[in-house]
Amino acid sequence: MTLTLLVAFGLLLLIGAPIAVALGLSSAVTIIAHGLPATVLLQRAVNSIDSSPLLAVPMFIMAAALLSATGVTTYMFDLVRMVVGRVRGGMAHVNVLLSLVFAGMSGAALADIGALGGMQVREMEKQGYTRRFAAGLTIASATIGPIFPPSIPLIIFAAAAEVSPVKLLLAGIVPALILTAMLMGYIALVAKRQNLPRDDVSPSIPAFLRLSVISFPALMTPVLLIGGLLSGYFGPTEAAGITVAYAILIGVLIYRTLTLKTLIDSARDTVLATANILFVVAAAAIFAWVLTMDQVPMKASAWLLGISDNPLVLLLILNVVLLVAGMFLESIAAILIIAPIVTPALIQAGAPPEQIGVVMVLNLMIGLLTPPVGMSLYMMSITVKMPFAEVLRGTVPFFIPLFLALALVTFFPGLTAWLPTYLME
Amino acid sequence: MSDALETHIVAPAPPRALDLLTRALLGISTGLMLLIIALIVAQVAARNFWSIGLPRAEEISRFSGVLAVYFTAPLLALRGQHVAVDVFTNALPRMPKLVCFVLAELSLLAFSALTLWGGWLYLKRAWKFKTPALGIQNIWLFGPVMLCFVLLIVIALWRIGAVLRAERAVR
Repeated sequence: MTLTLLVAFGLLLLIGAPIAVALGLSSAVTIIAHGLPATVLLQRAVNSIDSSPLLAVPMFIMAAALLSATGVTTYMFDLVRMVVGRVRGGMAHVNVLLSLVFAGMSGAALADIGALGGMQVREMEKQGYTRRFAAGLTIASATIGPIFPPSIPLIIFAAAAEVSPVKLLLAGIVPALILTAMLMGYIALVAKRQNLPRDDVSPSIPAFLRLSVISFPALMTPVLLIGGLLSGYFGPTEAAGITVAYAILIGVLIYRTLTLKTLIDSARDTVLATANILFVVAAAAIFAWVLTMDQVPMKASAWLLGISDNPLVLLLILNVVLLVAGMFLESIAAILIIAPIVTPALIQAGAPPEQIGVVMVLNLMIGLLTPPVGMSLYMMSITVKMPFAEVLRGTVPFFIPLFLALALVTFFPGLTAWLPTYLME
Repeated sequence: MSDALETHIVAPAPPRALDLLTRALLGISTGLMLLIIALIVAQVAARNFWSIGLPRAEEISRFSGVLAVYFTAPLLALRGQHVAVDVFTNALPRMPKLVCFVLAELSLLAFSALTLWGGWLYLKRAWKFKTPALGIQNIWLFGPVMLCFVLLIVIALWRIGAVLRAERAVR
């Protein structure tokens, strides 16, 4: 049964069918061919997205869209530039730090590239960086977004693996900081060798204070989100809704750039992005149901635990599987298909669910940078009108810091499990 | 530039009726999205300030989320904006690319038709079942979703016809 499913899915992907359709039709064909109840098709397609936790997805997309629409990203860019710009390779450091700051508002790598990518590459080019280096760094730093809370892939992982979304969101903080440090460390290492320029910004205390005051309300977004989750005032979905309300509030009252038209435009863009993601989620739920009917999760658990019951060994296997899967599968679909299969075995072997979630998402985000299905590469290629192969060439060196961060998160479970345990217990 | 890069298959502008209908559905979805935000904020406020739960608000926001997704899916299909892996098909010459385009649209048609059939079988016995908080019958949630699958079939047929007609005109 699984063979029929996978072959049909692969063929449909090859002919360019939408991913949701490839997942849904391969499942439907398998269901009919093997005499399973066809009633499950519509039932799963609706019930899988009839979910409160998944409502966090559109909310986080909308919060990022609204904060972007207020124009605050320009002030944040200037602020970060003033702090680290003067060092060698300053604008490259600014690029990474800005992605970290924006990660506190957005939960997706592609949103980060869409909102900041053009500006980051343009500014770096102005200062003498090659376009290839700027594009490569920008898409590498965009992987911070889906790791730092709010993170859309981590929320989807939590729903698929049935683990606490709050713990998972908190578990992403330290790995995101490690990723940031790794990228900045790499820039510092190559700065002298490649003679990267220093920023020509002239820092001044009044300008710094002015930019800090202007950026402060937007910089408080992750604080509100994490504080709300920890205090128990609201759950992840409610936190997402409150973040949207907060973005509207500061956009109208403080930045005064948010109009009714901007609000409606942001809501419309959010609906379009959400429908694309959740249609895949709905179809992947049917796909996952077929896999469950064929007892794939149980068989995979037995197979994995047969190889080893050491969580580190299993996580290393998971890394290899996910890096390959990430080259061919869209990240959300990959999470929904792979998470229910491998998570039970890894948990049984003693790996913390938070570590599994972060390792999985980090792997798949690296997968966004690998062809043939490297969505970040395509996005950057479109955003800065640069050939795909050139973007890929620019990205290759940045795999070193990304893989180092992945290795650290894989080898040291405490990096993911410590913070949620400390804060929640 | 290679032949493959010069010849992307793009469906012509849609007929006015389909365009208007899908845009209207997107308008409704946008409204539903704003409703979800309002309901979530209301739930947080009601629980923290007045210690009351709003199970109906929770159910309405969930259903609004489902409907927003399915009301928007036809517009994405009409514009060819559903996420797809086109790296393989883009590398093909024009004719095989056209074949893949038609096959991809046929797969959307087949998926929608099979889901509709499965939905029909399901709703034959479950249409009257009521939801826990609002107490509305299943048909009010599943019915509109099924209509969106009907619309997806219409869109797939139109896109196949439009592209083939355009191709014939070019030849």
